Amino acid sequence: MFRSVYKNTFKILIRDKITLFWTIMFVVLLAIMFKMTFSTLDEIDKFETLPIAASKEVLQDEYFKLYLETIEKEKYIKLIMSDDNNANELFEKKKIAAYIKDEENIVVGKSTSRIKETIVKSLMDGYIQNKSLVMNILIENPNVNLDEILKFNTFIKDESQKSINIVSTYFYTLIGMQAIYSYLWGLKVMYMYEANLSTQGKRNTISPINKKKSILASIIAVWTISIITSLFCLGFISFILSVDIGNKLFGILLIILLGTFTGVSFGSFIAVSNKQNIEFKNGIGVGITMMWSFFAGMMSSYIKILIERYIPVFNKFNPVALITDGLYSLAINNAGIRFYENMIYLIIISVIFVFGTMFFVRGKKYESL
Amino acid sequence: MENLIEVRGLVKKYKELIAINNVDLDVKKGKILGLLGPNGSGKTTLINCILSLLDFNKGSIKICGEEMTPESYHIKEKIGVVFQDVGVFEELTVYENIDYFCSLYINDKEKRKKYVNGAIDLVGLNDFKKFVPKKLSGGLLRRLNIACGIAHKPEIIILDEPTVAVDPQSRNNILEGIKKLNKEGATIIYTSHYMEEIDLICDDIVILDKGKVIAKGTSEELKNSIEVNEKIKFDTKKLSQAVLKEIKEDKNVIEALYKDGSCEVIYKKGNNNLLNLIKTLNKHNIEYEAIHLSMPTLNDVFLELTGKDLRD
Amino acid sequence: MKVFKNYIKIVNKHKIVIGLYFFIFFIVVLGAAQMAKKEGEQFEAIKPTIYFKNESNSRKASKIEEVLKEHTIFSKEVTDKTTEDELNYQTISAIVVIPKEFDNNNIVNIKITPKSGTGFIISQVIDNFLNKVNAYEKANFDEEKALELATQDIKKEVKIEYLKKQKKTDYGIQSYFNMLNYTIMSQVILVVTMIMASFYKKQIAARNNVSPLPKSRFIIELVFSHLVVSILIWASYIIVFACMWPEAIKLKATHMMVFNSFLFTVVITSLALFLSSVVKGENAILGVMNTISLGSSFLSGAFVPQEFINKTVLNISKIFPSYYYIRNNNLIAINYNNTEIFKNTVIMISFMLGFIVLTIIITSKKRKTN
Repeated sequence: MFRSVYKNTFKILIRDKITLFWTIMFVVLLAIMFKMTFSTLDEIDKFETLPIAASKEVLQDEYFKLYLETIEKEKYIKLIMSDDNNANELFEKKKIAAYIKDEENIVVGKSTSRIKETIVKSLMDGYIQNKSLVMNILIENPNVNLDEILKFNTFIKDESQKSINIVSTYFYTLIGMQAIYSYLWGLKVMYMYEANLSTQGKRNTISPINKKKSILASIIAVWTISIITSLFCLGFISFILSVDIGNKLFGILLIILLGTFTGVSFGSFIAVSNKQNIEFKNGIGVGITMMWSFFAGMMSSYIKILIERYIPVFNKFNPVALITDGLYSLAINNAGIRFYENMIYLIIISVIFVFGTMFFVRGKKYESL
Repeated sequence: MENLIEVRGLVKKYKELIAINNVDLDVKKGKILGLLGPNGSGKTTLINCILSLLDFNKGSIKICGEEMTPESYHIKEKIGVVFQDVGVFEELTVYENIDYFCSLYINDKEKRKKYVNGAIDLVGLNDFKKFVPKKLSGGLLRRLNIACGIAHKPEIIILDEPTVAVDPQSRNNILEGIKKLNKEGATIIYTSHYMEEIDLICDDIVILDKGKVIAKGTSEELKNSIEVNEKIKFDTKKLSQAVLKEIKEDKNVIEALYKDGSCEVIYKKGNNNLLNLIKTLNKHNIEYEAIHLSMPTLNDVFLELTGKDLRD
Repeated sequence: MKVFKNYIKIVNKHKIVIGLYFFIFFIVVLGAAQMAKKEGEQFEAIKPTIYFKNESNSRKASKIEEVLKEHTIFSKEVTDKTTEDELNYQTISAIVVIPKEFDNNNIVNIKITPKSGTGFIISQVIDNFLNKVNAYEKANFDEEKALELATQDIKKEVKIEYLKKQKKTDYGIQSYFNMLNYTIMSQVILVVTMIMASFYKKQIAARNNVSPLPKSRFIIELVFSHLVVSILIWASYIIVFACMWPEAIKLKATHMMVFNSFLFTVVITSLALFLSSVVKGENAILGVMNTISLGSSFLSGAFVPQEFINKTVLNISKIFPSYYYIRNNNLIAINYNNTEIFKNTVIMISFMLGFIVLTIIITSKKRKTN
């Protein structure tokens, strides 16, 4: 009987081509749009050689010229000869980040991030600061070897590790949202068991099969479909869009298995936990999933950090955030404690939903049908 | 005779509305019980209470001598239900639908295959095994609905208005099928607001109105329990008030109506009603034609008990 | 107005779901608006947020701290445990730790996002300062004097000017209205398609078709009903905005953004009508709604500002009315006399007309084939 219910439920779901299509398609389309939108996101804070214009008059100061040539050698800037009029044109065409009027006056164009302009300022500040330094030293010790004194060393030990590309975090959230969208399948299948929602539900309720067993069989069938669709979406994101989601196959599979199961059990819980109509249940599912996705950082990754800072417990019960963090932790620290912590929370949430579902379907009679 | 289903003092309320008002019901083994009543009389509510789908406020329901609960799986094994709404899966074919629902009762694959094909045969869907529900007409869909409910050859079959919106050919097919199932040993509860169907196939009849049982018995018993015995109808171009009055003066006449060239006379029990009427008409040289005699119907029973038609 | 009255009754039945959507989406909008930045008229160097920890007791280390405080913002919310996450998510630009060994080797430990501009800025500040101190010490100044002079030197700055005079801008208002793109789109599409599902049911559509109510009258009332509900949704967001930012609601720029969002709501209503006529099935509706509202919001710059989006992508996003809505908000924030605003408004109106025409064509075709 278990096998029969599993087989038939699987057949019913796999033949629902519209749901199947859209469960996959909306993720594929969104992933493509993400890829397009975020293609330049990591350019915002990228440090590149800055094209800077300077007039001939400015370069007549040999020390200033030397300074500029030094930082050009370091590839911090690329110097372009210009004058006041030409500079305007170069700004219009966005060919320069700054125009040096003189050693203390720089002109910049408008940019939203102001990072490039701040780098220019930092580099130009360096010259007038060094000038002050040299003057102070020469006043006290006119015979010092300036070349030796002005040798630039670095006092920084860069301990930066391989960092996550922030764009990947958006895709982690998308994968999380897709896994939790399995709630649609969970809802659909529970409609088959709720006598007040469908006539098939009435049939199933009055049949002699243990309701819990047959629901379990159906949930497993739904879970199977969800895993297949999630893996397909994951494959698309990873191989077609070349988004780096890491290579820890075991970890990724575990996330998909648990994440989709959480989604399915969430859907079944919504279906049986209240006596509202189908529109209400669908609405709850959409609304809550959207909210979870938002707090997991789908629209702005900063939101996830804010939650971690101020109400970390909230995202411990946000399955989309758990999946996002699971993928993130796989990428940074190789499936360590943090990863398994996320998985445990997913299991806890699933168990709550499953027990809740079983509780509400147990020996149910209705007030009205 | 053994009662397979016993309902005692059943009360079901929806807030202030009393949907089932102190109903007692006995369904005898091997019989077909008809539940007759107009829309909103409580037939479906009663069925859903019996099946333990609905909560009720008072009373008891026993099936095969045991209290019926949602966990009474061994009792559920014996029941097959054909709901008023068609409940099949759009994604499965005719065969797959029947097979699925049968599989909830019958584990054995070979046995189930036999039963499913038997059910398809019974309802006449052999040519439509591979069709999906979307491709079936209303009548065929109803037949599929029935097959899904009875494929596992249950001891007790409950049919809730199975012939609503069904073409006459399918309807006859369904009624024949029900009789066959009964012959094979099934006890049947058949609900409808079509008295002709109830009259045709049911052994015992319970008439419901506004949640109450207003009459119980066989068709004969119910018809004999009312005053109205027979109705005689004839056509005549002209019938004066005086003649009509004389007809009405017959002690067996309950009512006589003449309208648009047609006269209907309703009689109590008695002999020679037709003879007396013809004598009166001949006496006054009334030309008449198309005399039609009809016996009381269940609608007459309902009308006398409630003052309204079943179809009101 | 029978159709309208009936429509309102149906909406009333769904009021819990509609209210729930509003509540959830409102949190989303509010969250986004709070994070928006402000820009002044004069150039201000950015101050990256960092996590700073000083494990050394030396005077030099505390001077580094002083200097860094001038050029960066020390995050108070970040803890030892969360530093890596905050760096990866770029909520801080660097983790700067002055270790105990600093007293011996003068080395500061830093973690930044590789090749990041802000990382470079922070490294420069530290290296500049320490190099100066080192230079003074090599020139036989004592440590205290070296630190004092280096601190003075580091305060010297060049003057940066914008090429063109800038206007003071608060991007909070703009962020709120840009975020409305997503929430209004999602809500209006969900609600309109939910209600239309009732009207498009075969039996109901058939009943309406055979009724004596003229078809045109039926459509007009239906469209009017959709508009009423959509405008109510829009109005809720505006009322909330007015309550939360009562000063901002008085500004002319805000009035224009309000009008822009009103027009956008009407456009989306027509889009929702179009979608409900072509897409069947609840799950399909959900999929389409998510794809269009999220997708167009991302591509058109509701979440990531348009300035940061690739030009090709922005060109593609011009197929969505969202692009013009958001572009208008961005233009209004800088200069509400810009003529491009009028052009974009006309384009949005064209979208609306286009959706209406398509809906009429599709529904007439369906009626004929059915």
